[in-house]
Amino acid sequence: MTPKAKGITQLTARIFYFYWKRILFFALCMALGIAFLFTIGNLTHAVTEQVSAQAREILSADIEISSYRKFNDAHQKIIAQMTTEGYTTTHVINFASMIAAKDQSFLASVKAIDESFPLYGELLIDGKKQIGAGECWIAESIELQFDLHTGDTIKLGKAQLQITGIIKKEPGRVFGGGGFAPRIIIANSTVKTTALVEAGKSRVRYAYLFCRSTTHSDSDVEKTIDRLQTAIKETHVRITSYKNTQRNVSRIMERQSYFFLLISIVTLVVGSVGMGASTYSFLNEQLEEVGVFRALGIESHKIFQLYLGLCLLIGILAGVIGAILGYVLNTAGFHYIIHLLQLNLQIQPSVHWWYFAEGIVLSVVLTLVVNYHKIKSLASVSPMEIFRGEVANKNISFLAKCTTFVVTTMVFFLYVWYKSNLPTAGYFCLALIAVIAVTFVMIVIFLKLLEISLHYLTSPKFFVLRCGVRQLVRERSRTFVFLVSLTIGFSLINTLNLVYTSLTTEVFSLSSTKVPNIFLADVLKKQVPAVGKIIEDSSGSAIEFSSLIRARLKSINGEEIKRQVQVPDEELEQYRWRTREYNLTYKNTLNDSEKVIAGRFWQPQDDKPHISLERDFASRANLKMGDVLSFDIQGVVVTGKVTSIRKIDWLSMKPNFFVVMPPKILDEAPQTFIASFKLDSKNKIAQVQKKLSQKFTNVVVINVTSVLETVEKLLGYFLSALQVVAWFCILVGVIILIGTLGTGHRERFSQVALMKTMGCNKRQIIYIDAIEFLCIGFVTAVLSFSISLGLTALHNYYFELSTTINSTQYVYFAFIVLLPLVIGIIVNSKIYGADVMKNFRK
Amino acid sequence: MSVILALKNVCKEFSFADENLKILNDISCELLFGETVAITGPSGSGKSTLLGVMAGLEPPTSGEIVFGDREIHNSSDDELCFWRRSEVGFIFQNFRLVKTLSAIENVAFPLEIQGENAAEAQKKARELLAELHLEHRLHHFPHQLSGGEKQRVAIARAYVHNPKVIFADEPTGNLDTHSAEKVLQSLLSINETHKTTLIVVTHDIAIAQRMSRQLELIAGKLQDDSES
Repeated sequence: MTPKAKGITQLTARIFYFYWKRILFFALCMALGIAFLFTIGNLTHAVTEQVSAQAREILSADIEISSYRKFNDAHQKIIAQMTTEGYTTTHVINFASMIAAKDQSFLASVKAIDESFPLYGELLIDGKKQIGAGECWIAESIELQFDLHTGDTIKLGKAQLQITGIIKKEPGRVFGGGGFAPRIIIANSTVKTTALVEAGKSRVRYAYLFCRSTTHSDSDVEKTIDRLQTAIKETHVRITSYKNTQRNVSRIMERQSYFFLLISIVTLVVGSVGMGASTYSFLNEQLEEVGVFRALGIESHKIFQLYLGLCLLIGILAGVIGAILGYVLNTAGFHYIIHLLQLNLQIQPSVHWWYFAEGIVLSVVLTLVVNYHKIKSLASVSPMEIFRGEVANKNISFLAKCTTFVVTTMVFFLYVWYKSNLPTAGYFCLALIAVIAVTFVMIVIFLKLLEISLHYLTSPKFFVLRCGVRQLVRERSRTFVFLVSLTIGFSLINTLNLVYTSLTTEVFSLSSTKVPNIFLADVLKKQVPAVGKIIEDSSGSAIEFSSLIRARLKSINGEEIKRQVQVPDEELEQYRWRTREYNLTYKNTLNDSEKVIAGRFWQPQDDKPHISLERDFASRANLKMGDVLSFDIQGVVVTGKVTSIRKIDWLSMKPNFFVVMPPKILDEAPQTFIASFKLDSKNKIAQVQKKLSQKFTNVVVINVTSVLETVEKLLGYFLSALQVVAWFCILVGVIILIGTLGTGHRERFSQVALMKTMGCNKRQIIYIDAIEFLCIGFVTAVLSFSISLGLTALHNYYFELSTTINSTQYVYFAFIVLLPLVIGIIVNSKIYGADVMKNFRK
Repeated sequence: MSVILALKNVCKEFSFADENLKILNDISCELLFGETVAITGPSGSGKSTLLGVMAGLEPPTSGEIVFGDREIHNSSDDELCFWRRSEVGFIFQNFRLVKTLSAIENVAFPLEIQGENAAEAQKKARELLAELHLEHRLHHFPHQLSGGEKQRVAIARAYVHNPKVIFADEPTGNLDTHSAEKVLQSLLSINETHKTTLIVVTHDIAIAQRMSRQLELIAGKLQDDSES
């Protein structure tokens, strides 16, 4: 290091040391955002690592071959050959069914196993460890909710089963939350006695799980999967490896983490605004020093290096504090976050230094980018200009401000792109720019209106109001910082609240008259009249049944859908939608929750093989009008042409289908029936459930209300986790408010002393400040509510929900109005009582 | 001429690091209505403290201060505020204009505090600033004014509500000779026209000699040079 460079470094260190309190505040502004990014990075890493380590436990196997149809002889031969190759196997059957017990009935998710299950992972049972014919194990939630215990009996289909154990832990359940169909495990040998697994009755998933022998390597397993993919042509047979499971779980986690990533970035944006504004006024205050340095012979570029170095230190400090806070959050809040995310994995918090480095690089880049132009302009001022007092504030040009905004946004864009993907980064930055632009324009309008109002507040009785408003309007840049930093955080939390309120009110409200609360499934054709009669007796009106035919897409425009061994990530969604099993129906008329948006729906007399597709399904599977589609319905191929596309209001809870065909085409296909209806009371629901489960053991009765309650609970957990992060965004706004007021204390002390000298009393001065902070609170509340209502309206327009505001929102509004007032008055409280002469002497 | 401000045995002490410093030591004097008084003394002699105590900005440690029939030393904070807003004007060495207010708003501010209509207050402020040749600077903010202009705005602000007394702490200390002369003439002209009592703290002998009476503060004791 040359002596000159050493001198500049020492000077930077001295300035840093002298102003350490203020520099700490600048760094703190950004540290919380960095802390969350650090936490999210480490958490996602820990989960992904754990999923990777537990992938076999999650699948309970190395390989799974599954199908919703019974395996044919060829499949059985392949499965048998696997055994001869040294793979251990176990057979599992899954289906949903109603359970009757102690005058209650409920839907359960039944898993039939043999003694070799699980091949990996742990099945922890409190009770008898082996399951035999006529026995069952029940989930802990069933024990608690329905008061069923070991020794009690339940009825599953035609079988009476004795409970011999409570399931404490089951492999393969990564995400918790209970679910609306709790688990019941039976022995494979019991399945037949239930009489539920018969063609056309319940939807049954058959699976064979395979565990490699000690002689098999990872590549052997890969080779086996490749061989199976080639040997089994039918797309209805799924071949899953533990690596697929790992990929799927990681993808879900990744998507969840995007939400947290984006909210953390918003926190960092707010922090950057606060840091930028504070360092801007700090650098303005440095003009005198710069004048002295320049007069003493320090060159302009050295001044530039000096303050650039200072910003570098601020960035590093922000990164370090962020990492420390992130570490604390990751350690102390880890299990709470895992609980909110409803993860059933055994994960321990871990820290990866990569995220520490990432945080420091990001905070340094942001600090330098945000302050670059200001430092450049500071270094370019001539000392005489400063000494003559010609540059009290050295403002940067409009172009420089625009460049700073664009480059900062680019930094955020690149970071989000790096952490997620291009569309997410693009949409996020566009939304961010839109929100900031709207906030900016609205603040300008508000301040203009307030300035105009000053012309009308001339009466002596408005003295305090006039002074408060004038203070707010004239301290424009400070007001901007307060409003932007508080508005963004509150907009975020309000949007989350409003979306949640709209969803819960619209979809989950029991009082909603249009939403059915009972869903029937697996009703056989011969059972339709009798089931319909039971429902009619209870609800007072006849219900409509819709046929349900299970099918798979066989070909599109003559091109067969083939199993693909390797599917590129970008084609994965389309591949899944094209190869999955659908529920088809036939009918001649649309119900009131669906609307044709392209083409024409067929007339009843029309016997041509028309196909009507649901809009989103068509888009995901990349199907369009005019396409000729062939469906494999239990081995029978039905071909038709897409002649209409429908839009469906799924929230109507009416039986709706991705694919609809005319009755004449599908009338004879193997089918079951479904129906939805509304019952007024819980008693009636219980009665119907009981009657149906007694008379028709195969009929599944889904209490939509309890399903929606579960969904609401899970959504609530997720939103709570998001809200926790969003509250920290508000905390950053509050830190900026406190810090900015704190750094302006000296000037405010002097101003208050002057006002007292001129005859203003303490009460008037407090009122003037109160008016200013109330205005900030009010404008923040109006801005954040406008922005969040706008964002919620966009969300609700897309999901066809109506926006609902509940009383909590009014409380929030009042909270936002009062928060700056309370903080402002507390922070400034020392000023009001301060001695005038003491302040003048300072 | 009647007495406008009387100080009887006024003392002011400060504690610094467990040590009591007596800044004003048993000061007694009477200031008359309409006179111009200069308080001189070396740096750190307590001139500004004396001005602050006279104006009720800080209480004396002991002694009495009487303005007309008002006992300043016994008044509450609210009473002092009321007194200052109606009968006292202030001018400071470093101007102390409210930086968020324009020149006209700064001048109108004391009237607004008194409860005058803001539009009326600004009308009076405009007239006064025009008298001080600042009509072209009405809507400029403090950072846009020169030192001399700032001090003339400060004078207009001190005088706009027709106070009985103006306290000026080194009013020309931060100005060049030309601006200082302009400011001084403005102050003396106000005193001559309206008979406002003017109490000026200064270390400039030339300025002090242009006042009708000079008081010198030495080691906390006040000496009336006019009498000697």
